[in-house]
Amino acid sequence: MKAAPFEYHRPPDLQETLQLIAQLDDAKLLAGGQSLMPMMNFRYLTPTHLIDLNRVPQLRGISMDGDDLLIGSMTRQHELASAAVLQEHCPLIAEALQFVGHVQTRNRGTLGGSLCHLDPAAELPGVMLALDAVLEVASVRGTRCVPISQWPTMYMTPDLETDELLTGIRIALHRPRPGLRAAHGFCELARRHGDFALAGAAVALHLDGEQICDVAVAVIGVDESAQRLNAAEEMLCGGPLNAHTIEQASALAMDLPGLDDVHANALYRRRIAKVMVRRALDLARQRAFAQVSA
Amino acid sequence: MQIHNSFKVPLAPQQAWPLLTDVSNVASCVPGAQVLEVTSDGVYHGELAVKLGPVAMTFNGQMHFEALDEAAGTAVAIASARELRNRGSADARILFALHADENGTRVDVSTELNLAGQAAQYGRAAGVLSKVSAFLLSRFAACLARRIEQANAS
Repeated sequence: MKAAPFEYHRPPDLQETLQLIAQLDDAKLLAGGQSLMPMMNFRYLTPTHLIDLNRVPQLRGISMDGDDLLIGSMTRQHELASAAVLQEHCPLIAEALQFVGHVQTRNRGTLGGSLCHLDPAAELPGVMLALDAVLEVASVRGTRCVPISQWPTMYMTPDLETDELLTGIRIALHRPRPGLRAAHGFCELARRHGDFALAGAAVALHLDGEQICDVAVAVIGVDESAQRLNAAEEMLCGGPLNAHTIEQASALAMDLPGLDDVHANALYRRRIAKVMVRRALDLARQRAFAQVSA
Repeated sequence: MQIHNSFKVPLAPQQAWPLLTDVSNVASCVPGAQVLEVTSDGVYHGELAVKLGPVAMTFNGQMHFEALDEAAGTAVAIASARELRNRGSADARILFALHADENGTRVDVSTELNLAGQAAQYGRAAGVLSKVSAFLLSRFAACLARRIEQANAS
């Protein structure tokens, strides 16, 4: 099937885009189109207007703003995976991107598109949750910032009004004190490579010697949106990172709220999440040790 | 598909009953719902606009009470609706049971829902619908409680 008829708009800059979004009723925003176009072709979505963001220069690129990393919402997933600044400061993003669709979809798919589509099992919202990203939203009324933890309001529904646009993603780069080691890990299980995961886990932490001084654990695919495993973070913080603490922390994934669907029930998803958290923490541990021996 | 929810009303069951069986009043408290017409045979015609994530659907249909037992505090409603853009249909049998509790009334809602067409195919249907129905019901209960407070205040 092909999409139902719609009116196509391709604004050249941010200002005109915001005006269009404010004026038009029943409009959808086209980013990379890797979810939107199939949904329109299946006619799940039949918008009257389609506003193409691909010619808006202000929405693209990766830059540093003081100690913050700023990523334009229309930055392609492929650009994220290959950016040297991200590999240096946020290797978790590149690691998770290997699991996001395929090369072809990453060439088109964008960070902002994934964050606005907000699939429960999408990797990028989970990674951004682990990194405590702040989302910058603009409309003709002005701009505002939304912490990623408050971004999902319901199933696949971001905190975005119909006249608003996600313009950028801000990540505060946690500069470790000298001697602190940063480590990360991302793991997921999908039935086929590139599918949305049954469950997955993203971990970012800092070690001071043997002691964990901060740790973020985000779980994807289990509930209606990505969630932080706060209980595990509290348990791990201040203690050592070893097989025993990792086992204890990952077991806490069994207490997460979850959703059933045709692919797997909530219990099964929790059990996968437990294993994914364990593996992601273990990856981080191996990396931290590799730094010591190097 | 079975969906079970419950909500509380800050009124005794005897006072809650007429309020909860006044369909137009109830509908005006459900986000996205409206009663368009009530025909003489006790059938309510109306619309319900819901968002299942990115997919916004509007259902148009009718509903009537199959059984109303005030003494037992139970009601059975039968509803059927079609999506406006022909993206599916929904049939529901909804059982309401009122129970007195310490702060008023607890209403248990058991819904036997059958979806067909795209509405049934899209996404993680079962889990999402239970989340959406819980969300709608919590908004409804909050709206109803607010109205009761306002009525008491005036």
